[in-house]
Amino acid sequence: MSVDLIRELYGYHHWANRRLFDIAADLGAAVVSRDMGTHWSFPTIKGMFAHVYGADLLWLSRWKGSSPGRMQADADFPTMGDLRAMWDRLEVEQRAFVDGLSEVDLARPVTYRNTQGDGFQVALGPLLQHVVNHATHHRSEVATMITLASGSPPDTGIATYRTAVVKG
Amino acid sequence: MELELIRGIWDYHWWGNRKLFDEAKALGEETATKEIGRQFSFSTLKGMLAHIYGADRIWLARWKGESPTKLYGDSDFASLTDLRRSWDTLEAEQRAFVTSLGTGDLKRTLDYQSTDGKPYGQPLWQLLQHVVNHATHHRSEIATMVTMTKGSPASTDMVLFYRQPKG
Repeated sequence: MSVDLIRELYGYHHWANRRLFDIAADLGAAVVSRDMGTHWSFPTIKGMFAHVYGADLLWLSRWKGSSPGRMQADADFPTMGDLRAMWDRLEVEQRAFVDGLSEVDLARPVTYRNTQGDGFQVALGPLLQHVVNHATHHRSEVATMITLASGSPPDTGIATYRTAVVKG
Repeated sequence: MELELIRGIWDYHWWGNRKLFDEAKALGEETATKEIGRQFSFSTLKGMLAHIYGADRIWLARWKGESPTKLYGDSDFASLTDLRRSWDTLEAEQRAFVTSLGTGDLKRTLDYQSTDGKPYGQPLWQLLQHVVNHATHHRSEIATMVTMTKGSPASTDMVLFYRQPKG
């Protein structure tokens, strides 16, 4: 069942990313590019989403055996529409990767280098969990930024996903 | 592997909670009760930490077959020190619970009622993931609040936890 656990976690991840992305996109280009302060990991809503996308892209590459030296970020996407187009493609590739996993794959050690070139080795299962947890951290920041810009967005918790979307 | 995946995120959860609790504690009790802003789910560091504790506690009770109607929060704790004492006890109970689980337990459907009495039923493994993910959301807010107060705290990124040498 470990494969089911990971697949459902990615179902949640894709749902939550899109739920907040759609709300942010509706706020308009000016709002998502507004500098909201240096106390955020990234000062704009678009920058925060671009970082979640960039991390997801980087980790998928590492799982497939390559260690890119550069992470995609805000400056690579002029608009939320540009980011959405790339993200839709990445989501399809990520889903195909997760759907193709078997139990043994999750225990496989992934050897990779970070963008500074330092080498690491961590099992694939925990890295798959890491990416979703990483995004939850930044989605929380986006939720607070949206609260400041227009009011509190709806919940993106796992329990909400299970009861409202998966229903069981 | 599923037990390892679940135990792994719980070890991470306790590590992350304690790291940010210690950051807040180092700022002092007065700073921890200072109103930082209404844009956050809870406006003080103590309130945010008390909410993580409260959610962890209510879920553990549900997993053990009860459905409490009270969610513990800020006003139940006079200080971070009070909260720490209760949290250490809860963490020991959580650890005993998580360690005792077998694969069959993870698949068990857990029936519970929310604090307003609505019934739900979900497999335990989903709820075990939910609680950790819930805390990550609020730890992110705490990290921003600490940043606003004295500068960025140390990262609690999950990959850093997994990269640590295991004793």
